[in-house]
Amino acid sequence: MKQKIFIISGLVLLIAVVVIMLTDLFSSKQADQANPYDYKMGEIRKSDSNQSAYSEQLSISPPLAEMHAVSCGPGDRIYVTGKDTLLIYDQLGNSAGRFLFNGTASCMSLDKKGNIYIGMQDHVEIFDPSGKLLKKWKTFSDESLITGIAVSDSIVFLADFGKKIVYRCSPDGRLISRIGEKDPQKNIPGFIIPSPYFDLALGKKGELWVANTGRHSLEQFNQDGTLNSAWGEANMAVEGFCGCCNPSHFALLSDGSFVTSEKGIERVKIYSLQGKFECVVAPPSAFIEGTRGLDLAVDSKDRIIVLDPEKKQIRIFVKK
Amino acid sequence: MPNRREFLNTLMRGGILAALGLLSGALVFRKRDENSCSAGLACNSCSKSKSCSLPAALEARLTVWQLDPAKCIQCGRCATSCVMSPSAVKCTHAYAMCGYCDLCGGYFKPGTKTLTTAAEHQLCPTNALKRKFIEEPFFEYTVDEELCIGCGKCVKGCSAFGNGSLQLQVRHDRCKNCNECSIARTCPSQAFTRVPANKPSLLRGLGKALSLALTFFASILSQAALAIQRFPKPEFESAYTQPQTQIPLPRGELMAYLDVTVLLIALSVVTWLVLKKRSRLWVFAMSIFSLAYFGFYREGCVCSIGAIQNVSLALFDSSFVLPLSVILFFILPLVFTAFFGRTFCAAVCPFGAMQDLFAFKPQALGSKLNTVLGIIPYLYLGLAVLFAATGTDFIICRYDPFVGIFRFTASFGMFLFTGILLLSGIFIARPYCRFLCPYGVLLNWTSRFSRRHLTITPKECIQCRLCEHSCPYDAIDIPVTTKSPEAKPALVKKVMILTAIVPVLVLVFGYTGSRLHETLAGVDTRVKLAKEVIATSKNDQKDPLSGSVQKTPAAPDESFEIKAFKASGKTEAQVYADAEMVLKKFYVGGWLFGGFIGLAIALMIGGRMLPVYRADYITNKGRCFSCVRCVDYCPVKS
Repeated sequence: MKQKIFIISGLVLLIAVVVIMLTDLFSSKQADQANPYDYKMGEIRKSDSNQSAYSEQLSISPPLAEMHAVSCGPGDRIYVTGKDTLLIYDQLGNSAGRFLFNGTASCMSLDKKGNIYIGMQDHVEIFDPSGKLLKKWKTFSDESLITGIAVSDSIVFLADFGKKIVYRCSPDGRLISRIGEKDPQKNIPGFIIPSPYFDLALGKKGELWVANTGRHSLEQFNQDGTLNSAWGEANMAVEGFCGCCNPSHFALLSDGSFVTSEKGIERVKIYSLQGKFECVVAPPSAFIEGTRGLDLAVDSKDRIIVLDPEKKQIRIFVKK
Repeated sequence: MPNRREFLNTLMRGGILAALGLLSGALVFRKRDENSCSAGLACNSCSKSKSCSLPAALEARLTVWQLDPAKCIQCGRCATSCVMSPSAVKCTHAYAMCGYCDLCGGYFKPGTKTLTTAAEHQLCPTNALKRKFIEEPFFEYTVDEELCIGCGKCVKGCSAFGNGSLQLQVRHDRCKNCNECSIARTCPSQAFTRVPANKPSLLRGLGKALSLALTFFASILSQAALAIQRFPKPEFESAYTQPQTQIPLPRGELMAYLDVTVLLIALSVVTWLVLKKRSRLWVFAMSIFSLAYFGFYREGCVCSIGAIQNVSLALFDSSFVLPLSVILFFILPLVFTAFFGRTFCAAVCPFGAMQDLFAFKPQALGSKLNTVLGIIPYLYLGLAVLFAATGTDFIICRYDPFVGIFRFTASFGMFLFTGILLLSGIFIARPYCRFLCPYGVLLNWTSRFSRRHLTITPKECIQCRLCEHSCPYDAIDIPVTTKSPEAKPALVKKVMILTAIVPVLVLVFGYTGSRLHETLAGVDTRVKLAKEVIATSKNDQKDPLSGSVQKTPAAPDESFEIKAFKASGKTEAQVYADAEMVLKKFYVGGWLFGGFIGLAIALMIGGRMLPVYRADYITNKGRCFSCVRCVDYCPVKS
């Protein structure tokens, strides 16, 4: 009797082992989805709806495999480019033209005549409004990587991430001066650009604004390279810029205030001329998590044009 | 003049040894497709292979597990699934990619406003990431590997906000290089892969600043490569020197051969103790040594039992590299068994040694129960080979009950599983060896034809019956002295039934196995993923302009597998094609698996149907573990 109990006990336990193995092996239950070490982005991606003063008016889906730069030209036409192709849309999002070129654009700007300046790795290509190549010139270092371009009447400014410097050039590619080199005597701290997001823009009076992303600030230079002012705060809160390199892109509104976009916490915000946070244009929830490269442009009606490379859309935001 | 039985045994033994020789030869000297060297030799037989840098030669050497940071989604399973505690996966810093940021997304908690090193601001749950001021505005971040648990939290922060210089990597000075990496099995993005041991890192951004600078343009512009942004290092003005990222090398191949040498010596010593010394005490002492060396010191990996899977995978997947040491771990015990019986089980296998310690009240189960339960190892072997050959899983390792004990890292579930098994072992001695061990099936069949097996008595059996109940494993066959020759027609009938039953059972079970192929394939992660993708693809939207399908962004409640799929850039069609390929393999495999089980059952039925005549108490060559317990009961001494 005792022996039988022992055998039955042993067998029950042995069968339990086999059943556990088979159940576990063929179980259709999902692997444990809990992550006790989850990086909770939820809180910092949350935005206060009271801070949002813009709504999305329109979105355009350009048939481009890659989208890297957006700009606004005469007649508030919207220009978008990436690899080998430039597309043009009218302000309502209707197709208004296209042309082809060879290469991958990283940034773009237009002058008053509607000529299109496209910054590529180590050179600039200039096209007339019909897409005819007017000029093509190389930058000034083998290590150049042009990530930002701005054009005034007779000057082209290039942000070179590779050399962490801004070039002031003539439209035919002649280097006039370098802006932003570290110079303690002139109180210029130098650009710290940890990753390839280095944007610039021109103000109404021709003043140059450059994103010093490693310092989370926007710096204003005169055309001669004198540093006039800077603003920006390293902060994960909505008022500041966070991560290693923000704001990744920016543009200026007609009143001189700033539209900025960020990576990490994907959002588009507006700051006053003095650099005071004013409102949110598009909160993180408007973007796919991980979106980078939210290039910006502003048209004459102060509509904010956002290039969303993840959704492959041009998104236009207007004040509510 | 040998009798007919001895002749057949010799023939079978020769066949088994020839098969093992062919198998080893095929695995060691097989031609590799990618080998295009001028020597025209397979790497394993080439004298230059040690220094050769051709990919095939590198592959032919030892491989180790590594994590591809480009695929990693920081799900946290590296911290929770590793057999090591804390995990052998650590955050590794590719300094060449680091921006030395003041506001580091990998260091500070989300929302932190005060950028100080106070513990409450730090993102790392163990404060393993150290921040040191270098010069305005640069800070250096280093990983304290003793504290790092490989959770990937900082990696996620660095990837989201920074350049992705913090990356998870298997640290080979800590990794046990398990036969089946338990993290690899649960990794939702299939980021774990085997890499050549002499190039054990998949860390991104180890290049010098200048070369990185030349490649970063492509990184900016390629959406797929956005996470791999590379850049020149900050221009430090102080005397700061950027640290080199340390890549620890794995345990050398030499150590693997040391293990093989120890295995060979242990097998030889145990065989001598069993056959010549016939000493239970010494055999027990050797089993304690094996438990200590192969179990607790070697931590149970790679073992001969698990090597079945490596061999199976290598036979069906030419890209899988099988080190010679693993082949030897598989072959050597079988060769010894072919000559001397299961001396490997007696005192070399740490599993057996462990279970022997718990056999307090072993009960005789009877031949019927032994036969019925004896089918389980065949099922386990069949499934193990099927899953290994299809690249699905190494289930022997997955359900290895002792490895967690050997490493002192068993989870509660695994501890309970082992506990139940050992508890059953109190009454049913060596339950794993007898009713689960898939390698035991191979040893059992090889041992049946062994040349010189342990005998209970060294001379003539005097039929004293003292040994009758001495074996805790029911491995002593009692004499069947009454010869009751059956009538010829009855015997002919039995043989005819048997002749018919073998193909019928093989076909019936083969067909059943093929019908079960979808269930069996359901274990495969590729099939699981396809099922999940089908369930979620309904939510994806088709872009009306471009016609392309826009994947729905990963929602917070989506499984890690779906998140990883969406981040991978793979199309649904690719996932379905992968799953379909697996299903096809399982259809064929299902036939073979079922047929194998049918054959095993048929042979068992045959074994019980045919008449047996035995004059003496003898050890059952197939089931006997050569533990030498019975010898002590025998009054006849040499």
